Amino acid sequence: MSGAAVDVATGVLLLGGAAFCVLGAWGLVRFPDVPARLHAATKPQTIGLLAILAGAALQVDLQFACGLALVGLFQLVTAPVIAQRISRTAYRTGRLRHDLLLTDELADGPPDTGDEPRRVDRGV
Amino acid sequence: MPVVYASSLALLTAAGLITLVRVMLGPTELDRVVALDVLVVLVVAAVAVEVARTREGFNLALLGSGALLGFLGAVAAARLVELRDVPPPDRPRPGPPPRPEPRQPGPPQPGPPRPEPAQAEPAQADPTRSDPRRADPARADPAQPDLRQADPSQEDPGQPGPRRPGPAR
Repeated sequence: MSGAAVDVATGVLLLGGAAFCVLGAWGLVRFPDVPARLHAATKPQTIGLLAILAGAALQVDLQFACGLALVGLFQLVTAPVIAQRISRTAYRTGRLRHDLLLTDELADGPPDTGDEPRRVDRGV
Repeated sequence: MPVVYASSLALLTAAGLITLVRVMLGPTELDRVVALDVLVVLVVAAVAVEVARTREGFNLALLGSGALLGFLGAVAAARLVELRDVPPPDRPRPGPPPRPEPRQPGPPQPGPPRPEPAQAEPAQADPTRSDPRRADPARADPAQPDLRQADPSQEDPGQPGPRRPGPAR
């Protein structure tokens, strides 16, 4: 690979990733409630970060590129966990707009509303 | 190539500023948690651009620790809000009739805790008398007295005594 091609790919990836980050931030401001904002906070952010990491990995040595790949993998693993925790908390504390929901599959009660004492560790 | 790096950093800065708007005017704590997590990701992305610019990997530890701290912070904050505000199972859940707006974590530290132990003492037995007063200054969380004020009024008819030491911790 010639250096110019790598530079062009890096430029495209960096600018595209930064643009995705801007779109995610813009969606974070525009969207109406917490679950909708989570969409903007997780997906475009993750795509943007992965693109930027890929663009950076093209420019550095292999060992550093492996480190960047690890950071990207870590982001891929942790972003859904954050989204799940926050959306679960938002639902269970009523911090979402029910008039915006098309369907609410937990309206009959999540599976852990039964006779057990209060436990917050179980999934919804 | 410097133009690419500079414009990428400028875009990331703009994204950070837009995110800060949500941090400032997010109506609930969860909005702020989400926005702050996005902000951490933006910082990580900016450090990655810096790594690409200098072609040195010495900032990789910063990248990894930033991602880890963002994850831990977001999960811990979500868990804090959940532990504080999720109603116990015997109370009706916030279903399709939407609850009133989430209470603001605002001023009411000095007011509510004063009458609250006075209400709680007759209902309670002796051993818990010292608990509310001692626990109140220790908790720096402003919304905590609000929740505990709401709790006994709705929980007492159902489960009077033995449940109290658990949530009051």
